[in-house]
Amino acid sequence: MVRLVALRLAAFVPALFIASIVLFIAINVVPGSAAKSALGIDATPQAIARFESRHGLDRPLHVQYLEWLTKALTGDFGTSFQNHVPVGPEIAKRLPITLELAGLAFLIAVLIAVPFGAVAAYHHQRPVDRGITLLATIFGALPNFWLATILILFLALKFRVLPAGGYVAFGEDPARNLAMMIMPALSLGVVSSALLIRIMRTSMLEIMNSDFIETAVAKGAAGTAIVWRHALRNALIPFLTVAAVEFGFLVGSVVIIEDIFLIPGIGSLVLVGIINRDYPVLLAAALVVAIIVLTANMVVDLIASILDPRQVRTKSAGA
Amino acid sequence: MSAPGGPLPTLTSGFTFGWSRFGLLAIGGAIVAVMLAAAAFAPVVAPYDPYALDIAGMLGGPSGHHLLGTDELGRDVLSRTIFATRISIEVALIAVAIGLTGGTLVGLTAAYFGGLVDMVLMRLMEVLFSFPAILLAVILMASLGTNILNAMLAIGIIFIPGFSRLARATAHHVLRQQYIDAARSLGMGDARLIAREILPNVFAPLLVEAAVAFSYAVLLESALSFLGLGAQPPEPSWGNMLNTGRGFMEQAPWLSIVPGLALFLCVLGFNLLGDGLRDAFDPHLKD
Amino acid sequence: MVDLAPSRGKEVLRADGITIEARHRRRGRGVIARDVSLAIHEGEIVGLIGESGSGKTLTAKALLGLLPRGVRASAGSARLRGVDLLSLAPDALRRVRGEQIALIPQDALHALNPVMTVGAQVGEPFVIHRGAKWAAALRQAVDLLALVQLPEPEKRIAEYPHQFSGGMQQRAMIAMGLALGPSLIVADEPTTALDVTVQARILALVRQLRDRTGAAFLFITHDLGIVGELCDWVYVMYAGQVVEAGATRRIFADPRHPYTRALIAATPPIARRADRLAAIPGQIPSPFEPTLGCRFAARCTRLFARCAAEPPPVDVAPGHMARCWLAEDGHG
Repeated sequence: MVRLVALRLAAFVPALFIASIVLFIAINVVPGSAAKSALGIDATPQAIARFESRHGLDRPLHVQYLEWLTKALTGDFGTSFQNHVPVGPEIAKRLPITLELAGLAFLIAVLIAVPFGAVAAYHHQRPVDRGITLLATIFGALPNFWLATILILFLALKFRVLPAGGYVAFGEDPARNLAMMIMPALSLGVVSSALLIRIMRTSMLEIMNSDFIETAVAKGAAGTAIVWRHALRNALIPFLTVAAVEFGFLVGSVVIIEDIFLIPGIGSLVLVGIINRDYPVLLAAALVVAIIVLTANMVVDLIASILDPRQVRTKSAGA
Repeated sequence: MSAPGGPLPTLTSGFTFGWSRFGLLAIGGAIVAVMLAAAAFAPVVAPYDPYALDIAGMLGGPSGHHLLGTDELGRDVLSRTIFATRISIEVALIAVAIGLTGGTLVGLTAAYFGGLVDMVLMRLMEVLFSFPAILLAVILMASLGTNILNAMLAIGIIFIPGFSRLARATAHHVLRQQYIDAARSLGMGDARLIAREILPNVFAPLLVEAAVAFSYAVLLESALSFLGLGAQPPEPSWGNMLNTGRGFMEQAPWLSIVPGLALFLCVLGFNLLGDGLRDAFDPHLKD
Repeated sequence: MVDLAPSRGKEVLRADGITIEARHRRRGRGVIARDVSLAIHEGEIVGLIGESGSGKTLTAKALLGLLPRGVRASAGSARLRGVDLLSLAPDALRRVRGEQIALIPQDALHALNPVMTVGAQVGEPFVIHRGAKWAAALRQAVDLLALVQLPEPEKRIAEYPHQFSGGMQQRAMIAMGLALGPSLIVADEPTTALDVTVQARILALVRQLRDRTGAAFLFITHDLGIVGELCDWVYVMYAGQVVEAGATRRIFADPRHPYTRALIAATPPIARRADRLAAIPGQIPSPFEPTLGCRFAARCTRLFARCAAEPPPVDVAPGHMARCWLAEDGHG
């Protein structure tokens, strides 16, 4: 058990480093743009030079990276170019909001995928199965920002059931918080569910063709018992590992969804960082997203391992 | 006298390739064909000039003159949607080309040198691959500058890891074959032998991967334009049309529906095509 | 005179004229089993022997309604204590499974649910059929595991299948089959995947269980040695048909079908068991290729003109049947 966690962590850390390097390079590909953004397009070359030297942007890239890294490891993510506010606290404030959104969206995706996938597998190649597969295909082609727009159009504007945007903390007003989160979470969750439905279906199909299912049938177990007791838990194991990857894509998409629904999370912070070419903000926000993705991967992988007793226990004696 | 087993599925393995798969492939192919035609023949097919302003007639609903209405500057939505197809297809084509080229380079290098180079490159590709694409795209656009060309480049870069895996696997396959064939052939027929070995093996997965990448490229380009980071107005792109539509949802809901619908259909078409191709080439089905 | 045909107790299973057909996407229609008839009586261990492709496994699965998609029993009946298994509605069939007839499959490791404890799986029949609560079912599982001679059964019930050795897994499967005291237990080559020493112990266990519980067994195998050691009666199957049937000692002493003779001749002495069925030149015909006349003709050393027509089953003696034109000859 400890070994499992240690193994996962061992993979996590280098991946995080690589991610930070990649992001750093990606952001700094074109020199000069940060200064121009902060100072305006007509900034003089001298002003630009002064800005760059003040922020250390004229030094070689690897030096900049190392300095950023050492500071980041102590929790200091620098200050915004734009408004000179420290980045760290802003991130800390926004993180729970994004986590709530991503969590809700993931929950929706899984809650759709597991039953639909299981039902489709149970009725393999009959109309229900074909229907669900078609539904999954349609969900998968939906652009999440278009789905968001349509949801706003109908639920917020036409029927006035839900607010079109904004955010209220869960602690303050749980009902309103959920009302504001439901459409963004649906936009993300429904699209993500598409792949997950297929994975669940495939996983269940494979399990249903296993020998131990035949044993259960031979014992006289009813269909529901077979699905619940025997098939589902086995099918969830591979399902969860893929779900972890999908969570990554889901988290990445908060950038757009938070923008549409005016949710003050990490995603909209990334966008702010981009529009203002505010590099410390952008780098920190993007890195946090990377951390969330990698952590989620690790956690779900761990859960899948725990669910599978073959990973945890060892052989006993006897003949 | 049959052996009832309830609604439980078959206890044998084996896939049955129903006619409906061909049906979906056909639909996908049809949609893709329409999109490609719209892109290619936009000037001919579109009823109006996509840039032609008509302030007096702005935000008009669907009517006899403008089948899908007009936008906030009076431009014909149908025409702009058709021309936006062109942008999407262009960007997707170039992005996939970049991804393919870059991916092949990386994959071949990794396979050729092996060892540490291989490990480092593939690890890098792995991290890049698990990065949420939209996030990477958005960041790249920030540093490259926000215009269509950079969008093509950014999306292309995002595709490199995916294609690199395919290229590396193929290269491994070829390298193995070379030793076997070199032993057998007289050296002259080598190239042709390899061509006969690689092409069937790489053609199918390549096509499938390209179709899937295409649909993803269209989606990414629209997302970037939606955020204001891709095609800039007045150039019509489904993404930026949806973006401006956002501001007029009450008065002109069609601005938010039409471009999105076109985008959805385009992505759906390529997805169905990719799925259909994957099933068509699946060795399991040649039972 | 040695009584080669022991008297048989009350009838448990009577299968009459079972025919199993399969439809394959490319290969078309095939006949897996044709006109198969079996009788199993209380307390008997009946062997069903044949090489792979003979149709023995699917015949046994047909009794439990476990035929895969595309395969069905198109004719015949299988009366288990009077009830025809082949014409039961799904609900009735479900009630019969585990309760009246049980299956012990070949590959015990894969036949066990990897994420469920052994105790839960062995006790599950009680939950399904007797409405027991899990606690009670687990207690039953302990008793059952003790019955199949697993050490420390109270500890075993909380363990998972992968923690058991091959022999232990097979014992667990046997316990599962015995759980509700079914009239008939179908064992599908339960020892094939085990090594020889473990095999011997499992066979001894089966015999002990039969002696203790009086259950009837249908033992499917390709190993003549096992048949000789364990089975009271044997049905020899070839290419979907029962070609010879009778008391084991009688069949071994006086085989009437060329296939049976070839099997016996090619197998090492009964005391040493073979790993695979001894090789007889030729190949078993495919169920999808219809043949005219005797299905064994292609490999038979005693082929003659009449074999072009399919031989009917002949009662050589009371309780001894052989499907051959030369059955009554008695010459080896």
